[in-house]
Amino acid sequence: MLVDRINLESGEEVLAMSRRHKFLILLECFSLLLVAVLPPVLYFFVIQNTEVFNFDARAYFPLLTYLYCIWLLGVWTTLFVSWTDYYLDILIITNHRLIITNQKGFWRRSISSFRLERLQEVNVEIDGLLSTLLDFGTLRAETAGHGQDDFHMANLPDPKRLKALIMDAVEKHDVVMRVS
Amino acid sequence: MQPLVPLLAELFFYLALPIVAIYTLIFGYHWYNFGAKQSHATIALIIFLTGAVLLLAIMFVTLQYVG
Repeated sequence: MLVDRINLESGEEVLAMSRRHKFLILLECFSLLLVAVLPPVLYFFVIQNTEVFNFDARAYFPLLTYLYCIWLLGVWTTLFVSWTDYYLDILIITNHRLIITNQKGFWRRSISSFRLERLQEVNVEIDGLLSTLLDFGTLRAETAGHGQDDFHMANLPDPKRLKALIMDAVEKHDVVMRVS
Repeated sequence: MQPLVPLLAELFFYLALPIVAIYTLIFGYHWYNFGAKQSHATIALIIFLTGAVLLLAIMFVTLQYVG
């Protein structure tokens, strides 16, 4: 599983794990639901207006059902592709590091890891009405010796709490480093 | 032209079987290897397979009436 692949150091504990806001995957589910119900709606529209279309769709009911199943199979698979993308994009905050795994399609994935002692600044961007109402936004972290956008993950729920958690972990980590 | 429709329908059905099998393997590989919990992966795989097998079963039944 994911935690085994990260190879946690001795004394390293996972403080929080966060995925993109659930609203975004629900939005994708809703749009796929619309795509799924479109053929039956068209079918009923056509059989209600047989004279207009000069075509009796009821005569082809088995074939249309068969084609609709192929359509649904495509929608069903697309739904799980979307869910995989959502489920495997994850931010992990530990007491030593920030780890971000990003799944891009099936065969491209990146795992970025930033040590807390290298973190310089953590910023939160909440942009737009929906983001404000549902409280999700982008978390950006700058590390020493790198460019401006070293690390970012968009659409994270409750980004201010995550920022506070990271800052708290950085402070505790600094104290431990100074003592040792 | 008419006998071509059931033939194509049958061809699509037998094409759909390996495609679903391949997607099941790909999903399983990703969820079990990179997922956070094994239980999530198992539940997701059961849900995916239930839906896919149900649709394939309906396709198989309607295949008898196509043509």
